[in-house]
Amino acid sequence: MAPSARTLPDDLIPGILVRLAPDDPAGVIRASAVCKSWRRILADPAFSARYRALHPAASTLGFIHNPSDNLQISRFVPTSPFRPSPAADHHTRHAHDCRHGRVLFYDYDSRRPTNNGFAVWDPISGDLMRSFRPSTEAWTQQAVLCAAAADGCDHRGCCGGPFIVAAVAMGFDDDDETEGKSSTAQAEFYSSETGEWGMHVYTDVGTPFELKDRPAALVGDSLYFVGDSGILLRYRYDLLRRRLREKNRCIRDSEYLSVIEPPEGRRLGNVFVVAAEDGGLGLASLKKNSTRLYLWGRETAGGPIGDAGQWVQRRVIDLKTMLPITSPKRRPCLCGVAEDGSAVFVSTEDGVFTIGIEIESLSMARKVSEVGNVDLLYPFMSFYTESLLLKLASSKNAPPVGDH
Amino acid sequence: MASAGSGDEKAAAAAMITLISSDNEKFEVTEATATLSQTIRHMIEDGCTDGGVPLPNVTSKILARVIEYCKKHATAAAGEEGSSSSFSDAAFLEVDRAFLEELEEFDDAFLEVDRATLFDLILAANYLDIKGLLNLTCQKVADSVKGKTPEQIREMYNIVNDLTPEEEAEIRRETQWAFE
Repeated sequence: MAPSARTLPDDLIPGILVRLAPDDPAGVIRASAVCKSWRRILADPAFSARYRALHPAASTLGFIHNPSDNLQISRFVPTSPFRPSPAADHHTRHAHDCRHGRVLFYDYDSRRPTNNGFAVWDPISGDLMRSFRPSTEAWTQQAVLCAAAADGCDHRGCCGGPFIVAAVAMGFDDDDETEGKSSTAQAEFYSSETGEWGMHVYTDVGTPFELKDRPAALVGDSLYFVGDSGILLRYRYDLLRRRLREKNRCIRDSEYLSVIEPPEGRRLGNVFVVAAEDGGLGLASLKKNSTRLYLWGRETAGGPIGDAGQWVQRRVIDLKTMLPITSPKRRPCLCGVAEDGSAVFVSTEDGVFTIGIEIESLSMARKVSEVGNVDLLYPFMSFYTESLLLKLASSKNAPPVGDH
Repeated sequence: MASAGSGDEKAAAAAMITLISSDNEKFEVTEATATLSQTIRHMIEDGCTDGGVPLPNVTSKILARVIEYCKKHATAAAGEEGSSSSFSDAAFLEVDRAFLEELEEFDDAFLEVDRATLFDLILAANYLDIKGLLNLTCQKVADSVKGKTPEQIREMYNIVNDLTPEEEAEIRRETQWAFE
């Protein structure tokens, strides 16, 4: 065995290539250009299946935020070697949400006000999907999602496909006589398939509350929007979509729109709603001037996640022990939650950190960006590397498996 | 956490196995350490380890490193068993975390080797069927090609470029962004 000029046996190469990082799609392409043998391995459909088994979750390729101090800064901040096409990353656009590989922008181009409206961007293809106007200017919170989300779409190839934008707002009744005493929640959704906004639903929510500028969580057939001190507004957009086909109607119904009270007797501070990995509903909260991150889980009696149930404190993570916090001014800020509920994002002056919150994994902070003091971000998660492997497998360039 | 001391004492009472490298060097290890290798585990189960286990594919230099890895991870496995039942307990979580961090540091330091040694470790891990070590070393190779061009990867791992210029041109034309 000469120590130099040796190569690894072919049968060990798949075990190496399957460990190429899923957040580095370019790495897979470059590996496929090394030699015929590597290309053949990567283009083998069985390899894609093995790759998926080892990397079942979507990878966070970056995050979207709305830089306040400098409008020329990119909306997309990479946390991986992936770089999106620069199209659509324009300073007149304000990001409102990101889910299922789609980014929801609102275009505020004052020079061309007729163009103002929502636009959905796919950072991977660079496509900017149709622009559409809100049904009313009153909507304060929006969520974008794959139209097939409630049908069990795994979002591995749905980008560019139909989407839904759900919008909610609180109490903007024209004849609001009960101001200060009770409040009304409103919701509506836009479907890219019909190109129209659907039914307007509203409901009385009792004690008034404000909706916060926080991303919604999608759990089952419902979207959960965050209100003051952790109160949640549940919007069963999909149930509504299935049951009622009539358009442009307005109904008052608490089955489709309802409120979930926050954990009792607690001042939660900054709250994010979490689509927990076990399919349940969760909350992550961090008080101002505190380093203790609280994680809550919604417990229901065996049934689906409904309005009945109670919040249970699941874990407390002390950020002090895992973040480089040297000065009291560098208080960490909870600024985002991974789409699949696997991690939270926390920012300090030093940058943005991600912390895994699955109970099985032992939480550790990992710095993902040098951009500091981010108040709110929308993680961009994708199965891009896996989809490249599938594309390679079906590509005419790929030599047939077993061809030497 | 079961302390390293009590783990060793327990192991000391267990049977010792002799491993013999290709250059005829003998290594005495505990059964707990040796059975991280599925190959050796099967030999023990078949009762053919009397008089030592000859490993003609593994040099003493590499075998010493492999044993170092197995010792550390056998202790870790014993420690995990001891604390997993109280997983939700915060104190045990702290212990587990410290343990995992220590193990991670060990693995990182363990992989600080030249490429020839890394190759030998992969081959030994494959031959001895030590899953953890094979995963670890394969991951190291996968990480080492991150950000590298195809030319650099070929140079690093002595790979002959057998793609035709037409094939290469086509790959680059279709996915130019990956090479920028």
